[in-house]
Amino acid sequence: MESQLEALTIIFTEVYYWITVVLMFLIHVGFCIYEVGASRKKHMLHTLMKNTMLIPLVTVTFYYFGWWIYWAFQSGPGITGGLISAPWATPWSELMGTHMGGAPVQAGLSGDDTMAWARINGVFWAAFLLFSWTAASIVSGAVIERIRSGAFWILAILIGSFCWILDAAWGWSENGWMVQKLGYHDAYASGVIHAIAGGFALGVLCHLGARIGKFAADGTPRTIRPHNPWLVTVGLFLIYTGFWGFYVACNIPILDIGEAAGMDGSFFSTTNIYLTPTSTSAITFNFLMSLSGGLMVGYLVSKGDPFWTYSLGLAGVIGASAGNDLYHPIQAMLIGGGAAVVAYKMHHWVERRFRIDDAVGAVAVHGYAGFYGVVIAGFMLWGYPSSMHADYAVITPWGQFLGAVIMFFVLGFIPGYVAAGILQAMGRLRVPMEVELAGLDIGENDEMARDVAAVVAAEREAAKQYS
Amino acid sequence: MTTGIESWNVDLMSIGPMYPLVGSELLLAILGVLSWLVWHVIQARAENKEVAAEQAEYAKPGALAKALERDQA
Repeated sequence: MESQLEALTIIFTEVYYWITVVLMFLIHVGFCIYEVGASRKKHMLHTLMKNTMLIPLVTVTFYYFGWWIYWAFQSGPGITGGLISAPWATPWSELMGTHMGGAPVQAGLSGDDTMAWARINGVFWAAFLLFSWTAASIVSGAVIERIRSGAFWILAILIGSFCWILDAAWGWSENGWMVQKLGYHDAYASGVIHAIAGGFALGVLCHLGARIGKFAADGTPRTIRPHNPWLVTVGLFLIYTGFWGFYVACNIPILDIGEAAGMDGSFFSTTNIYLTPTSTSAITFNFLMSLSGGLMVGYLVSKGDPFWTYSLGLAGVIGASAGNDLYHPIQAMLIGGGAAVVAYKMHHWVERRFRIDDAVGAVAVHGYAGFYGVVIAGFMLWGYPSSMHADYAVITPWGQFLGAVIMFFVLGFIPGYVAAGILQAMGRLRVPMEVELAGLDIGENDEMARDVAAVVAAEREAAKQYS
Repeated sequence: MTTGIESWNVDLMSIGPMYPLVGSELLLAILGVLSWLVWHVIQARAENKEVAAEQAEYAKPGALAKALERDQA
């Protein structure tokens, strides 16, 4: 980098994404704490390890193929074009490692590729990867206390390193076919993360079944209380905190979009992932107002239930996220409030009607609120351009509705349902009833009891000299 | 001898990949993918064995009732 301005812009962008990754790490910390708090004591360690180990597994697979899918599949392939060459994103690319931006060694890469990607590839990859963890972690909460770890990790890789990143290629990129053809707009991922993960979780739950004792013989659901409500609330607070990182990671911090707009000179701005202008200030207004709308309405509809009030605050953010780059803050608040009603009512209706045991309300808070958020954006932003490209479709209610269906059902519910069905047919989806009743930590707990007994026996033996 | 950079006293703009053994990327990718798949095989075998042992233990008469008496709120 020769000019100071160029260096500042590139290194600022590099550090910007790095900070978003650190903040987003808190989402995962929050999910782990929340799930452990929500589970019963006899399942705590299993719950923790199930969610923790998705970190390395989704990370390595996102390195091996997830990142490449994002760049290569934006045209479908086969809808607006073929498979797109993305030599900076293959796992054998020199740009998937330490690089100074000089001339490439490998064939297929240009000097422009190395200049553009050397300092950005790792942090941009990581920002997307943290979204992958979130998608998998959303599913993790829904299935606690009865799924086998090995089965969950296969499902986590499927949602985290394939399904979500395919939907991002299609609907969360500058040139994705859904943006081009449907005018799909989902700036802060109501659909591309939340609806798909919620739909996937619902598909898995259809095969996994309810926890023992969740439903009475007549189908009436019983409440299985969290063993530690404080952990649940601290976990949700941490998820809120991490969401700040999630939001800013959805933006490009500084970009000259003057030429794309047809201006004679430069116009530097923050943009969303579609490279259309927004500002960090705008999304700060709207994040907080939609959170507030969700919390206020959530408190009322749940009659002050702490678990649901916190969760519905999150639903408020998720419900407004598709359009939070453009909404007025009071619009964001009202939309967030609506999302809280949708998530709460839908959760209880689905639970009673279909006996679906969504242990932490993940399908509701992420799936239904995300679906609603994408659809509402179609009405609120009807006629807005979806892109700087004048020939791309504009935002419409029908484009957004179709987009929400693709996210929730096509890329979420169906893959989750099919994959869980295969695992179930192999007898590998759910733990045996004896183990579920005794507790998924029973092996560790028995071992711990033996260790404690051995030490106590040794201490008693040592104490005999004083008797 | 070096497997990568020989000197920092060069035109820094000419430096591309900086990791050791440039040219081994494809082999590393294959090793990475294989290690990931092998991990799943090892994990699945261990989990199946553990779950089967726990299932057998708690299928014994009285064992489950005793386990349920513990503090499991």
